[in-house]
Amino acid sequence: MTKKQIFSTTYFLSGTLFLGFGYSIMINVANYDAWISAILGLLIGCSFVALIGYINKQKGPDKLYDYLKNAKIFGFIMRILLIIVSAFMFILILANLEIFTSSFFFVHTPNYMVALPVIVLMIIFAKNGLKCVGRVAEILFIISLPIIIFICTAFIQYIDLDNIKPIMMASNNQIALSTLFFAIFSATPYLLLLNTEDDGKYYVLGYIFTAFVSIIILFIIISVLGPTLMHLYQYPEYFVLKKFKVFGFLERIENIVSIIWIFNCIITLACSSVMIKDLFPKKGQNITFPIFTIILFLISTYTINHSAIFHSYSKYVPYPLLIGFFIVVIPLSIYSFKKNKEHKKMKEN
Amino acid sequence: MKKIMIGILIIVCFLSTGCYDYIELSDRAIISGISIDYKNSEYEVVFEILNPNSETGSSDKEKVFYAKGNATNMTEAFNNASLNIDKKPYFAHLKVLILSEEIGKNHIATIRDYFLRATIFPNNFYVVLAKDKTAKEILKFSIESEPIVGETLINLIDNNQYFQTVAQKVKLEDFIVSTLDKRKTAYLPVITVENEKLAITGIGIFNEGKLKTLFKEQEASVLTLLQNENKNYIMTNQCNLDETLVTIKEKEETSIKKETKNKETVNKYTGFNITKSKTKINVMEKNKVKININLNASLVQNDCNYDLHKMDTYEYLENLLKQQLQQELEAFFKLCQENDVDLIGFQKLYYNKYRIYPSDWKQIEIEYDITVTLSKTGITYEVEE
Repeated sequence: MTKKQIFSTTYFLSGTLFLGFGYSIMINVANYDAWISAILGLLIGCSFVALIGYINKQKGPDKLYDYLKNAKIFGFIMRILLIIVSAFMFILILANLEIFTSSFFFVHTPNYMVALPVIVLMIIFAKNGLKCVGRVAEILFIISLPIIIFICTAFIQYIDLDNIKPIMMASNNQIALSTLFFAIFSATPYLLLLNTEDDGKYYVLGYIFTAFVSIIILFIIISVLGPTLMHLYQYPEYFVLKKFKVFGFLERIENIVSIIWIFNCIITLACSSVMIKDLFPKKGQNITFPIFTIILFLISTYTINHSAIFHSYSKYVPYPLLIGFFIVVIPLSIYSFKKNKEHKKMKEN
Repeated sequence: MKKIMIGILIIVCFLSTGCYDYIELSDRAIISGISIDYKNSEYEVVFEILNPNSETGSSDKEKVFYAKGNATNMTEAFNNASLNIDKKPYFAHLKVLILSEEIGKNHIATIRDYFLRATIFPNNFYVVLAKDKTAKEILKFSIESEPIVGETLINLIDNNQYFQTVAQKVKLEDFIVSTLDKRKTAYLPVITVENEKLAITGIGIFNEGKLKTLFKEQEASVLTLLQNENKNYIMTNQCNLDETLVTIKEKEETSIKKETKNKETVNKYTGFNITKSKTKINVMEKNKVKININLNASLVQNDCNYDLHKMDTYEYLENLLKQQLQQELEAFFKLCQENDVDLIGFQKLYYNKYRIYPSDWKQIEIEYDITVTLSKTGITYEVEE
């Protein structure tokens, strides 16, 4: 992937988990101080992303499958863990996409009908690889960025600073938890880039940009909706768009503008599909991967139809993500570090 | 493979036109107003529906029609009202929601919950409170010149903003937030029928989600002034009966009032138009609030015959206005304190500053700092008889 494609992909990855989960969970934890924890979370998230960048740098241009191949049991376990984490994100985002689209776009369409075309798309993406995902992300970025700029500028008039006052009312624990959640929500999807041939050089730069966008959106949600309304909705980021009125006549465009969230979901789903496919044993991959994707689709549709599962799922989602992130990143970093040391020693000899 | 792909693309072009589920305008029931009453333990919902088939010049009965639904709960009441229409109800153009006093007193929580959850409603329509009449009677009070009540009420509220602003533009979302946020006080404009026409007669104040009291036009106008929403505040001052000649004693004994030929000053007034106002409310100490008001006024009526050529006159009139406004504000805050309604949001300001709610906001001492600047340019000096 080119630098532009990497940047565009990271842009979409970073913001995905905020839709339906991230913003509402952070607001529930830190109330209207969530924007402060987002700023702190940006700093922590940077270190998480830098860690992923480090692994990618040590890995070099190799595919992750090949990189872990020599590690035997460790490599096998890591592959399984990465598949689990990617599959978890896939289910989470697909379920969220289904709920979001069937709530606001296709109200009368069954959930599975919304997800089916996405599944077909993901199989095509997986077949074509990350380069294809990068190219699509690059195009979607050109559409998404002006919309984001448009939202940010149009909402300046609606910002009521009274809604964020008095600041620092949340306890230190609440701020700390919300900070960690921001870092996890924004940095975990970067795991899906471990499979790229990129050296991870521009990850932090891309992360800072996208996390900054997420902070602005969070600030808009809090300052525009206020402390009462922001707690009421599952998708506060959608309902804040309902307030949109530009030049006194341009209104009710929330459905058009919120398309940017769907872009985020599509690119992240594509990255996780490619990741899962590449970590599968190469033999019989063309059969095993579509079957696995269909299983994931069935799980996500099942969880939505049993809303009690999805409710607890969305409430506790940061924790499995947190565990998944560290259970993958820490061993991989140590492995990369050791391998790098061995490589240096070999060179010296 | 390429041919198959092209084939699929062509089929997709025909299937994705987006017109398969379109609904003709004449098949939609465009609802412009809703009234909700509560009678005999039942909610009564009435829709005011625009008739798209009516022609220009047709009578009001043809321009709108109504659908009514009764039930013990909101969901069924709305459903029953919808069942009385042979078209699909369309709420995207909803202009106004009229609530009865009974709804305001006892059923706001139900209304709030229903409108917040239902996705069919837009969130930018106004909410008003019916007084002396039921909400249905207000919704059905159409006269020949104004057949659509939803439209009439919007015009009434909007136009009222430009002449002695009494009306509060309260949208549903703002009202809901105010009823839920304990730091805010909710209020709605009150609509009644006066002289065979719909009129705004003040505001209905809510406390803890229930209609507590009604404030009249004067108080409503003061509230808009304090909220910096008042575009045209009017003040009048009756001419002093005892003196025909006002002098400023501290300076030279200058007469600023021309001697009137006849001394009848009863029913004679000085009128002022507040053209610009800026209010700032600050919590000074734990028990003290300072209200800074900067007003720009112009003299619009001079029955008292003040000599507008002299600068001292302006100073006198500015002081007069200042005193009068302070009296009006004091009366307003006294009324608020008596009724236990924190309309200005002292509690919120206090909470923002001290991070705790005041133990008793009604004990807060208010200091006024009013600056009045009377326009001295472009005025009419005197109108000769």
